[in-house]
Amino acid sequence: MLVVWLLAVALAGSLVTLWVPRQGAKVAAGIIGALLIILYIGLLLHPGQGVNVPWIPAWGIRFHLGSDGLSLFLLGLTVVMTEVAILASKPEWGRMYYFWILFLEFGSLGLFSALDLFLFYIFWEIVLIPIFFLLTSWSGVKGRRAAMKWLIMNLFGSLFMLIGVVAVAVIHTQPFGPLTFEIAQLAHLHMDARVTPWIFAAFFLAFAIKAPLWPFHGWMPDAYGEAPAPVTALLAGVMSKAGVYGFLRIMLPLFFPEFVRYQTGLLTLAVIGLVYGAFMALRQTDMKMVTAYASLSHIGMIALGIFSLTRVGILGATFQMVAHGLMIGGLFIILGLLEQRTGSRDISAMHGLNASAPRLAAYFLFFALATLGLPGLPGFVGEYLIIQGLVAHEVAFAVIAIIVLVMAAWYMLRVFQGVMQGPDRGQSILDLKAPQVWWIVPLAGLVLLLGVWPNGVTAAAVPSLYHAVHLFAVKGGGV
Amino acid sequence: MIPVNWVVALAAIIFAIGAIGVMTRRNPLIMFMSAEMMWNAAALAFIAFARQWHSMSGQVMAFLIVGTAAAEVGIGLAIIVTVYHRRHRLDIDEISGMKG
Amino acid sequence: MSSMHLMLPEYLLAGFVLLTLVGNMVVGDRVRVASWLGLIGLLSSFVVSASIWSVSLKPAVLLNGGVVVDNYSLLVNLFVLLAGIGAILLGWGETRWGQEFVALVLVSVLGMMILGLAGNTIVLFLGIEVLSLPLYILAASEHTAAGGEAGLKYLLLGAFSSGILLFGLALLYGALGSLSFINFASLTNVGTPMMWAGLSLTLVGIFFKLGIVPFHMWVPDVYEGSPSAVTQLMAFGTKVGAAAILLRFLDFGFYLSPQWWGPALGYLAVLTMIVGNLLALPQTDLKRLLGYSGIGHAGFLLVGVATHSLDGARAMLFYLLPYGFAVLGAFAVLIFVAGNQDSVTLSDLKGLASRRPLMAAFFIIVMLSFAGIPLTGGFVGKFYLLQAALFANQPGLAIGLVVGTLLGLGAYLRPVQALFSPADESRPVPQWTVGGAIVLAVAIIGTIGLGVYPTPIVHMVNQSANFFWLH
Repeated sequence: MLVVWLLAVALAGSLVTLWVPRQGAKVAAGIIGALLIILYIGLLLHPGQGVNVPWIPAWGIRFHLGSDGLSLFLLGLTVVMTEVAILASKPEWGRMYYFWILFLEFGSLGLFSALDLFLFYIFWEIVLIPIFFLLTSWSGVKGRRAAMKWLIMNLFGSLFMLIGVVAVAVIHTQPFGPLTFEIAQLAHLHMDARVTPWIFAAFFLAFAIKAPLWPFHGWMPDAYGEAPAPVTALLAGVMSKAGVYGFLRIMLPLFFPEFVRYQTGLLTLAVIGLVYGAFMALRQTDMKMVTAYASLSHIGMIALGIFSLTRVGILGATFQMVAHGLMIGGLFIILGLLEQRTGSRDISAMHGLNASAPRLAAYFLFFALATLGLPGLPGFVGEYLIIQGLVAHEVAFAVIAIIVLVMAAWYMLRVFQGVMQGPDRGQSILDLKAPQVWWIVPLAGLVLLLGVWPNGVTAAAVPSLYHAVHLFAVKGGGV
Repeated sequence: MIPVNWVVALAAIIFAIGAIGVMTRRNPLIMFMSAEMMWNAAALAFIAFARQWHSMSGQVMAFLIVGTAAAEVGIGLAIIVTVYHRRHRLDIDEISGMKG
Repeated sequence: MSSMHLMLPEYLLAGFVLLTLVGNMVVGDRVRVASWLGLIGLLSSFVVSASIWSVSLKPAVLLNGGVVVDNYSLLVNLFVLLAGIGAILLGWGETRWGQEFVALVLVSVLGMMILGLAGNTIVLFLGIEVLSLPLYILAASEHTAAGGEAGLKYLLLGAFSSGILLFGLALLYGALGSLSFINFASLTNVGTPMMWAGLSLTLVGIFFKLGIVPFHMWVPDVYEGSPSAVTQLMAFGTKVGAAAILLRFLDFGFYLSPQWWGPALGYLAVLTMIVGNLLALPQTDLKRLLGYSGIGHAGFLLVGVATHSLDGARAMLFYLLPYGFAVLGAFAVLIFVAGNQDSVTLSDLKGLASRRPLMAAFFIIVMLSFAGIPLTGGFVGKFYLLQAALFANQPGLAIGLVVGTLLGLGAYLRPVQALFSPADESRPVPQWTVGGAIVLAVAIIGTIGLGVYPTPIVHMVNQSANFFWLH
């Protein structure tokens, strides 16, 4: 039942922020976010059964929420990152801003806990709306076009997925089955070989656009670039995981044979994204865009883990989803603080800032190192597991992945060196102050904890993970 | 006795003339008249078929058509006159100001 | 139950038409008294329809097969009465459109109700004319050039389409020897050319009223030039009436021979969804945009009919309600923003989010429902249609529906984004009106309610479409 409380508090909280005084909106949102973290800790201690009641009986739709090894830590990622984003936002952005942030949290929590395909789809589209309005009203001049691009590109995939959702349920009824949207019941469905590729493509398109995977990332540069830093952190940290989560939660159980059939193509797609993202990150001079393309590259890496179709690769991807969310979110927020202080995002415009802002530089370095996969930090654990999964069967892809890891170190450190090190040209900025340090330290601590004690996540995830993704016929490479 | 088919053919011709009139003429009054011709063609066809099937319902329909047409003419002429008062010219292309 | 009792909603409304006319003649404050009388008439008819509906009744065939009262017709009553109440409330206290406004709205609603229960072609024809004749006057009642143009165009195309419809009915009568839908069913298996021609012409006539591409040219002009309250009635009520008679005519009279009309309807549905939404994209006049959106939505409705299945009939019937709520809400906001103006362009919407946040929020909800975003009724309706299309094994319809929705998205999001632009300070701040606020509240509750918990309405609609022999 705690899952339902989590959702209810997020929804009610978002409405509450609309009625508090304008200046108190940030405080109220912060309190609600903290309350959700406490509730989530309760959920961690008592995972429980979730809830499963009829919703629209005529169509066999049930209100089915639950949390298992696959979703439990993504729920945690959502509550933590939302709270950090709230704390990193400015109070003067007003009530609507915090309403949309909390509404986004409501949608994301629902997305990660829905076990009914219809319910999943509802939340899948719901999360698009807050981002649309956040981009429309709280971002730069080009924000509106970015918002339009975001919504239309995502709905393009989603609406075709809706056909897929309904088609799967209809096929399930065909000879005598009941009309149902339960993901667990729809798994291992035997479909006509003529329609399966189309349904597979419909689902794949939606998830690949949301993630985004190359070549479906058209909305990404605009949206990541235009959104305010906390919103970018949520986009890259939480939203991008929704697409990948869809591969694991929906597509693996439903389409395992198709995954095996198309595996080489899918791996190629992921690896192109990985390399493309890394090269684009190297070419950018805007530090936010470097990170954006780095994120694209990382998502390619996670996708590699999933498409390896090995237990260890999928476990690595699951772990990396959580770790990457925390790291890239933290990095975007640090960049946001830097942009606020310098008024620019151009690497060449900044030099030697660590002289005046040593603490900011230190946290920047920490998150940059974490994303590039330094051993001891969680990025390393996830990438190691993914590559281990690849080595077993797809050595060529593993080699490319390792080469890109080296490039990752290059593009991340290039930003750090350009901005923080080098000759001090008298540019002086404000260092991190007490209130900011208070919430960056726990975030960094969480990242560190994941790095030194990954077993905390993996051990909890493994049993239910294999059940959730129906990995009964994997290619081996056991954990 | 005139065969039913002849009457129906006549009705079809009247209907076609009316339809062509609506589509080609530009004076609302003439267009409206042509539309009424289409109605009358239908009424004629109903009467012819009523004789063919030996049933009264076709004739009932014809009466209703005539009655409704009277009401329509009343309303239609009123609207056309109102527009004419405002413009002092009747040309549907000229009246047409809304585009897109 | 006696026929008197079953047709009480219609009789009541007819009585109130007379009362309203008398009220117009004798009382001092004419418009207000007429509005109250009209509202009471519509509400009482609504209550009576609902109470007859709740006694789940067997279809009653009255007046020698001319009238069929069943759950379907009663549900149609509820829908069109809702549209009528909306029109009265939106036009509350408005003197510009003449004192007959209320009576004419009532007559038009009566015509829509007649379409819901038509059982033969005579009643079909009468229903369409009773619906249309008052609307011609209402469309022309705005005293502007656009108003006259709208009335004239509506009149000419209405008369033209009625002529086509009538000739089609005459040919059907000639081919089948009967006017009653029930008799059609047994006669239509052997298709003669005359029957085929009659069916096509009849469908063309109905498509004109429904606004199906390529018979849609009149819709945007008439919507733009008519008074907003009347446009709302056309967009919601007329669509309900025309869709109801289309479904009844085809699934009653021609249910055994879908080969004559099923494929054609499917292609027209896809064409309408795509063209309607595509043409909505570049519009800057809000009423015109809603006109094209109405065309697109007529295409969605046609999907339900084209599937020729019980699910399709139910889905179409269901879709009318979220669409209607969205229309009610959109026109309420449009009237607030318009103030004393005739039209509302997208630039008039600028700054609404900061000047009237609640109004802007409601407008956003309505637009999202048009676009079919979850947690609004529009999504559930599209989902039901999609389900019907796929159950009927017609993926082409499903893809057309999705493409149409995507195109529509651009059209509905532009007004939403305009809300957040800086306001034009020279424009007056939109003011709430009591009638409009009631309509908007009902529309929002309905939209969100249908989106979050559609179960009762789904149940109700499924009950109402049960009379078909399509099982």
